[in-house]
Amino acid sequence: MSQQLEKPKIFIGMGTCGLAAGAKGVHEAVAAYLDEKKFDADIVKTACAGTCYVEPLMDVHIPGNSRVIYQKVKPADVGKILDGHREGAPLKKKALAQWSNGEPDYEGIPGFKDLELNQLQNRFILHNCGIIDPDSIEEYEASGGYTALRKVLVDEKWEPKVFVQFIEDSKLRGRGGGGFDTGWKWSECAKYDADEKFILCNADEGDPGAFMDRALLEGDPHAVIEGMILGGYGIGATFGYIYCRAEYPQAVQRLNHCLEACRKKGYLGKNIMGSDYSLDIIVKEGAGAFVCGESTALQYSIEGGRGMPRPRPPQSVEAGLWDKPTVLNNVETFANVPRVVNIGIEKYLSLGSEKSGGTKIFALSGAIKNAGLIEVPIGTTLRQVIFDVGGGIPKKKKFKSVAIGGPSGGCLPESTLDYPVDFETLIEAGAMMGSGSMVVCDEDTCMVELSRFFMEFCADESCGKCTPCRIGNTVLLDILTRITKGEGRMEDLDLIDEYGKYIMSMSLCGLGKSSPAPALSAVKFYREEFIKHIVDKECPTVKCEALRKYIIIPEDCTGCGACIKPCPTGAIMGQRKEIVYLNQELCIECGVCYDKCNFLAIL
Amino acid sequence: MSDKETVTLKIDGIEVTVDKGSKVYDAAQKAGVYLPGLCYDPKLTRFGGCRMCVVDITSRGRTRGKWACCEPASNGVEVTTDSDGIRKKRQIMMEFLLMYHPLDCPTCNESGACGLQDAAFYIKQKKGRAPQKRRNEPLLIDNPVLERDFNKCILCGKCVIICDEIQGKRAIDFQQRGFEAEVGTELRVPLDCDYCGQCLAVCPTGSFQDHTEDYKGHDWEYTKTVTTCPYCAVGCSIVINTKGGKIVKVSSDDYVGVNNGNLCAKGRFGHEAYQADDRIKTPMVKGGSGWDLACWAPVLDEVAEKLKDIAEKNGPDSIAVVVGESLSNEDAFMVKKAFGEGLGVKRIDSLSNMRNRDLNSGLMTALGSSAPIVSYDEIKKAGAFLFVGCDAEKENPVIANMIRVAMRDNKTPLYVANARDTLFEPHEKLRVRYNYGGETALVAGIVTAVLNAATTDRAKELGKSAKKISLKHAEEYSGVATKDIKTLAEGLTANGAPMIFMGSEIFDHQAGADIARAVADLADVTGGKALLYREYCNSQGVNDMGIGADSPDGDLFTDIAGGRVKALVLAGADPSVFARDGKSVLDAIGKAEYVVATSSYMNASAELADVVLPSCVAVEREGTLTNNEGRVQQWRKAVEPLGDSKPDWRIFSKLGSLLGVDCGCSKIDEITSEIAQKIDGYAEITPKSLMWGGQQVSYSAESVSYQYGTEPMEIPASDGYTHRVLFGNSLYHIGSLSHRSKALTEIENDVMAELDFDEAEKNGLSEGDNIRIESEKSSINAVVRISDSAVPGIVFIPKSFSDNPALTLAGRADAATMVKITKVASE
Repeated sequence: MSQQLEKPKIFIGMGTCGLAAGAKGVHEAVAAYLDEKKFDADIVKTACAGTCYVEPLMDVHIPGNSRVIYQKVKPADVGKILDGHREGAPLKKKALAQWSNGEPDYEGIPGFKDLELNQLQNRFILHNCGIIDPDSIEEYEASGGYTALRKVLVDEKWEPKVFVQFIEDSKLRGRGGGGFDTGWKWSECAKYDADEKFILCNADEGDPGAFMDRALLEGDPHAVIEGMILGGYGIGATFGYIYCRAEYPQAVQRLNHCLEACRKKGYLGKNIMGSDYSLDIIVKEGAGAFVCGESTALQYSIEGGRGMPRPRPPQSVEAGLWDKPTVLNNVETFANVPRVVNIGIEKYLSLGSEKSGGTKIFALSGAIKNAGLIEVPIGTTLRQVIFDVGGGIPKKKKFKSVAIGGPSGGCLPESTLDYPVDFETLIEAGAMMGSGSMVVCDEDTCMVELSRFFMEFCADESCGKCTPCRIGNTVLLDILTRITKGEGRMEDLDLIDEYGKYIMSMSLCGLGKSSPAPALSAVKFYREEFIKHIVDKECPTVKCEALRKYIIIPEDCTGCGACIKPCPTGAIMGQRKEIVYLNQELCIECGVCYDKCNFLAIL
Repeated sequence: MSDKETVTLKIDGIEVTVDKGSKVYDAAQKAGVYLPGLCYDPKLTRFGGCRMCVVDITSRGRTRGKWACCEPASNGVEVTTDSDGIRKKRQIMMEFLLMYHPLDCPTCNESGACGLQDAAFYIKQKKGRAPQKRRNEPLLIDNPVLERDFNKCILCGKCVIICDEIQGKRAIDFQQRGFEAEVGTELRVPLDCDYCGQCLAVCPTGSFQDHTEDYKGHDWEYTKTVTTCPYCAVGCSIVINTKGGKIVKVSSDDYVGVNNGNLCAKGRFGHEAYQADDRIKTPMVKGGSGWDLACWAPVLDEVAEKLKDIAEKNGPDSIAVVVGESLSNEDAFMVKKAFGEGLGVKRIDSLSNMRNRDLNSGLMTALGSSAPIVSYDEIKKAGAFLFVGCDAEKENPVIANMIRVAMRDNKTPLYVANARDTLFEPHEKLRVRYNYGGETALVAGIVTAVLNAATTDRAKELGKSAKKISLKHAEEYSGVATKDIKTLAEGLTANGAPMIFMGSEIFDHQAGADIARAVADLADVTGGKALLYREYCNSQGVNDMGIGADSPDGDLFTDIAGGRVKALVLAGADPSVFARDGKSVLDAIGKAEYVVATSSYMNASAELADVVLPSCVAVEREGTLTNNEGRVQQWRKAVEPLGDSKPDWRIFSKLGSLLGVDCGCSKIDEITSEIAQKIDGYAEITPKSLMWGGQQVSYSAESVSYQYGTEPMEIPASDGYTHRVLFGNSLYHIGSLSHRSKALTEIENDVMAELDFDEAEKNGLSEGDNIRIESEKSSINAVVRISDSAVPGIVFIPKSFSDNPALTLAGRADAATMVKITKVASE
């Protein structure tokens, strides 16, 4: 931040993750504190800084000193923190890190970049998230915003063709999952002559475990808007829509606010920044269907129809929304555009791998220490992401699997951890980049249950249009459910494989083309676990309720005999001072023995 | 077709050439290669949901699996429709479908005609490997004509698409998601639609069932007879399905006739009327104590004697014949021959003619080639559509279907100029509402605007001298703003020749002939075509047969009442309902000395007759009829005549022989051939030429100048009467036949008077209220329907209901019929 600070600022992370952790109470407490102590400071509501595991966050920035981030702030802590900070003694216990802009640092508080999770990260796209006030267009401008737009439209007056070629050269690939070449898509669309063209932003982020788009929209909405305007200029769009799911009320509100600010500043509307190009963008709220993230279904939804994909050709770039040439890109893709323009192709390419430039944002969740939003250069290995950035598995448990790409991706085992994260490698491994969710599973996760969960999600979210997705997914779900109940057969494994492959090849849209992937990869990598369910009727992780069995742990059994008498079926046998024996055939899994055992010897 | 671009490709090694834009599926069909495709219908936008038509397409050396229904045919590609890989894919898809779709074929009505059965059979699908996954929804019967079985639906989407694209209703759509996805109404509220049954026609499974068929048999047991629909003037081909001499259902065939498989509720579900119980089965003679049943021979002898007697005593002008417009050409021809030649009767007329001679029969000779007979093919080619006084959706629903298809395919813009706000989906570009009586002024105004703009060849040729009205006057007389008139003129000329439709509003209009001439003028200057909707299935043909051509002027019923006409023959006509001022008509018929009626059903006019002769209905007889576009098509016999009933032509040829005419016809083909010889334009119409899809009459075209008055019609003020009546036909009822159909009367049994919402609310009326509609002439009972088409001050009343005949409200020479509406307490 290059802005000169005049009076103290208190930043509160009020993204959805912060709010969920209780940021609202913190905000109230801060307001009350300022009121009470007559402390003259500004309160700024920022969004997610990526460190979701330590929310709620509160930053305090006093002129002349660095900005300190306090973690896991409770309303009760506010007074203590602010009192201490004003006296020049930050509460080190609560301080997570500090940001400095050449200002003197406090002693004993690590720099934000020195944090474990930030060492491998490159916050290239997220550079504003959690730092600036996302509602303030001035702050965005101060951090270099809309300079790319000015450069292309006004200062250097690039031809649309030149600009599209520039994006093509940057090897910017769609961050929505498919990794489609953005520049090529734009140049295809630019080819068509039409009275109207549309540029759409896909902000219908629906994967369980994915929140990258939300964080961007809440934390740096102007970057997305700037990218859209640039894209619109490249293809000659006459109107733009941001299709945002209604479950992101904060993002919708913020986008509307920012679009209005853009209109006032002349970044949107007739003759943008005095150039010949005109564009307006509005937000269209989705009604919560996962399939509306598919481009043609999204277009139908905008048109007011039922969100259902249509067969192609024609491609959207030829006849998309309202049958006009249309380009649809993901939130993150658009956020990349102004950055590429600003730093130039060479620098951008040097960030990523050979085939795709730049960085990728991932949402880390599940059994991981530093759950949150991370951004790494494309090509970083999974191990680095999970263990170095993510901090590994908590409670010293073992790593088991990582589900990449949510319900359409795959579950990768430990043997794939050294794969670099890029579009091609992941697809080869049986997963996909997806939008970038990574759910880490520890040894306690049942892979059958996990794939059943993902399958349930897809079967539920299928629009019902095409046979393989509507019926096939439900059949697969049925088979997986049966296995979790111990009613599986060995043939089922082959059936999952066969059905899954045909569902993927025969489905109409991306949902069906990818929905069996988690199950397929689970069967491939964790076949033993499936067999255990089917043959031994046993769930090694004790996650499948129907297969739950009570067992005696001999090492822990003291032979107290407390469990013998209460057993209603007489399944537990033994003498006092002897390790008891549980007859599984008689056991009805009532759980009485478990309650009675004082030594946790019955599980 | 020659002007279209074509592409050539290979299907399984067979080279085929198809139009550009066709799909690989079409090409395969052309090559004679079967593809299982459950969601594909050439007349609908592709859906791509069943995934069954997967094929391998090799282009530029790359082979990829594609779906034939979605993939555009392109030059030089090679398509493989069958291989192990493809078969496996299809098998898995079918396995999924059969895990879902109940296999209760033995008890399914669709069995034998089921697309899913055919496809499964072709694929040779055996039992599925995973347990079945079925839905268990009860059969839904929430309307008189369609049954829904959600379990059998495979979500091919055809019903949803046809309902939207061709019917414009969107009554059904996909609901729910995933496995629970189903086709139906939102929240499963009862279906409220046109009941056209288009969904039923395209459904490949038994998910939509015809309630009127009622499990009477299986498709393979039915004898199918293609014939022409006897309801409205579109001339749709219907397929009568019979089993054991009984009509079971009506189906449609996409490849026969003018309608491309589209039918309306009347055509598809109105078949119960044909064999209804209350048909007249025997000749009846009025005796002292009521009707006596009689035998044909003595009755016809008696009729002939009686008529001869009256003619001898009072001259041939004392006999009049009214010919119904649902009779065939042969019937009408034979009526004219028997009475014209046998007794010298001149007054052989139809009710349409009596109402508006200038418009009905005068127009054909008065106008040149551009009106009012144009082929339906013109709809596909039109550059724009204009409705003038026309409720396309209700009057000729299948023409509305054709218009929608053209709007979908060609993005043809639609303009509407009506006295009401009649509905039409998809929406029009511009809608104007004119003042009643100012129609000619409006049309002449558009003509003027076209001439002013001089963008068409004809307008350039004519120059500004040809205009008949100034735009200022047009605005003043019609109430339509000059700006809108100019927009209409521009819209009609922008994309090439427009097509203009005139409906019943014009037909019932006292100034209808002038309006039609003005429209013909407009068609002329824009280079377009005009089509006047006729009312009944053979209105055009009866006219062509010269019915009414020699009629003297003067009102028939006044003449009967005045004793100038002594004997009346009603050949399939019921003036008590279908002539204006029905009360005075009934009085007049009651005063006639001798009345003979032929009819399939008893009606108020026939009740007053001395002799009633049973004529059989359309599906029991042969004959030809001429539709809206002048296409002559055949009626074919699907079932034997009920009781002693006979076709009218046979009755009148017998009667003619008794009157001394050489009718000598025992076969209908002979009459058809005689018509070809004697009637202008029918020379090419021979029984042979009609075999496939009928043949168009070649009407002689004259170049004429269109003379019409542009002054607004004077409508005398009437105190105390608040609403002007627009008469028309309801979507479900036309003529007297439809009222005998159980299904159609269940859909609509009451006279539904359409009123504007605000106005009705002001008067304390709401939907479903019973009202009494009163004019100077009479009064009828009706039920309020609040309609978006209605406008204040106008009430729309359907006219075919014999219990409450709306036309009794109208005076015979009224420029406009004014009524007042009062609410009556419901019973």
